Amino acid sequence: MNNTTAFSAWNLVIGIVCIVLSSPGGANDQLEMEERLLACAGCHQQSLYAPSINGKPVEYLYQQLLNFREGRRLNGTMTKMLAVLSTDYLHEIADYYANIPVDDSRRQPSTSQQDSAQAAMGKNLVQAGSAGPACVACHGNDLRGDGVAIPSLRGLSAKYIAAQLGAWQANTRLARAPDCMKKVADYLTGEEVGAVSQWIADSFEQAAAPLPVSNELPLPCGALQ
Amino acid sequence: MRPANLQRFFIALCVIIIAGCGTEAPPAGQSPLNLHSVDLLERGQYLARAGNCVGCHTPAGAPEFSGGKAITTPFGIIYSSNLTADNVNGLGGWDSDDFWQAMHHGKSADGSNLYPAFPYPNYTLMTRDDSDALFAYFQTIPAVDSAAPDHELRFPFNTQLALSAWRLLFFKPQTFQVNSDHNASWNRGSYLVKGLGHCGACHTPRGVLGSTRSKHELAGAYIDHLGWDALSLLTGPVDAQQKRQTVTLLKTGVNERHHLSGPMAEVVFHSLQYVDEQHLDDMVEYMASLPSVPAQLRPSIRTSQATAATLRKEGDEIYVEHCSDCHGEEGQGEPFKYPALVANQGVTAESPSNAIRILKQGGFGASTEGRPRPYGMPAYAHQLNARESAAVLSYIRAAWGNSASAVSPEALRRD
Repeated sequence: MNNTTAFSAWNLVIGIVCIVLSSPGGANDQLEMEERLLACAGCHQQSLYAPSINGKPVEYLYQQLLNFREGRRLNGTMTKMLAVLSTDYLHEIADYYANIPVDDSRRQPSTSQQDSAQAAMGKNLVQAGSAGPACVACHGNDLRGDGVAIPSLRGLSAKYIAAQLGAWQANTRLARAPDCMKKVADYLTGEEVGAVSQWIADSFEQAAAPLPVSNELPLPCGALQ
Repeated sequence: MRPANLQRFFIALCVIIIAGCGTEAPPAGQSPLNLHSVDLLERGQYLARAGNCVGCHTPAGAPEFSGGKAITTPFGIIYSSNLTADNVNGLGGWDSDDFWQAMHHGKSADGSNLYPAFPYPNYTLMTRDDSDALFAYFQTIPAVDSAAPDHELRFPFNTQLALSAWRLLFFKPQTFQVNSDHNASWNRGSYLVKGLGHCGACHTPRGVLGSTRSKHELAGAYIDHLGWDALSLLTGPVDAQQKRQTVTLLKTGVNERHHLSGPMAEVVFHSLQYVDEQHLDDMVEYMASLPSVPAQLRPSIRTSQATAATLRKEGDEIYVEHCSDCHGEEGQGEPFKYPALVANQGVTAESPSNAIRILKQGGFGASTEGRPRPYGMPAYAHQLNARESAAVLSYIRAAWGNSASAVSPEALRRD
């Protein structure tokens, strides 16, 4: 056995040990959390009115839970549900959902009626931006997010994306200051919101063409500070 | 008498006075709570938590005690005040006499009458040393320079004259008197329930001018702007086991058979989980001694016997489909996980308001030190329509030996 092979074997062993040690609890813990969180499943697993939260980045979910609890994101049911939960528990809840694989079965296939001018506008906003930064600047050139704090946009419905952009514009979905997404949304006209939302929903069907992207975010985000 | 003898005489006198005080009967102005050995600021923090000051004085997401939270009353909206050490908007410019004037007399530092949404009719019973400890603690809260918005009250409730009239009718400063017919625990409980804890602010019904009705004290009330009933606290005598279970419920939000929800879960989250078990025990001791008086809840919407029977029959099937997995086939629940629905006051209370609230909006219990990761109930408002919800509630309220009235589908629309 030469040195390189020994080195790789050790790497493998260390790698497996690390994975085992860092895995988020056993099957029992997952089952126990599932029982504790039936209140969340009641809407997020079935209802058409609540988005699927499986597999979203842990820090993103955690920030949203804080935003609901602390009244920056307005939804009566969510705020009431979270009002009496500790910060530690919210992080644990975020961690639980972040570790559940994304559920693609609930995704509605995009039935786009976008004409070529709208598609061009949407594509340009996503990839190059206009007054504000491009979507890819933060969400990554394939729009898959960063896996930690910035969510993937792939597989979201056009209606959901448009509703969120509208909510930022209407101050019903805010984040800790400085609120970067609020700023981005405020750059967009109504027409642009429609175009960008539809293009992102449609782009899920297409293979993403990788674009170069810088490591630094174009705007400061309170949730990431 | 020579000076040395005089000195000895005074020392002896002091010893006699101190010995005479004991724990049973603290002198006027001294707290009946057994906290005298606790550091002043720690005691102040403890009292602030036991009184749930945060509940009204901290809006969601705002710095602690910075005020400005909207309190809805039948007379309009009142915004809570800033209790931080800020000199202009908070209590920074106050001294302990000003604070005592607010707590004991219901008057601000400038002498103006305070609104009784600030429960000074309860706090008036607090002793001066507790008031001073609380004030000393608030002085350590980092200043936040946010001013509460002006109250939005209808005429004439927005005038000082109206408040003067109200005080004439309903308020007299009171001093806590130790009742020597009862033990020290009962007295501490009385002080906490009637004074600092201001339980009656929710659990005692109010008259048309917003004063609590002493004839129905702690007998339960409907809280209009929250849509919840504050249940009766007049439990009647409890045995040692029931007492222990109630203390566990108040301390952790959960016990073998019950979970606290809604506004009471918030009280556990912000306040009761920090209260010493001995003091919770004292409160239960006091409440259990109170005579039963009639509640004054909202009238329920009634159904005919025939409708009730149909609803219960429909509800049986819905229960099996949606509820029995967690709450059990016999409504027995699972200790500390899913509450029992059989013989549970929250379910079988005369008014179904709380059962309706919980079914419609679901909710989690409070995260507490004892139970940091609470279980939660899903919201059913979007899964069951008014008829189905009324049916399942009607079934639950009459199954397994429960004997509460059926719930009209109309009640689901009202609540």
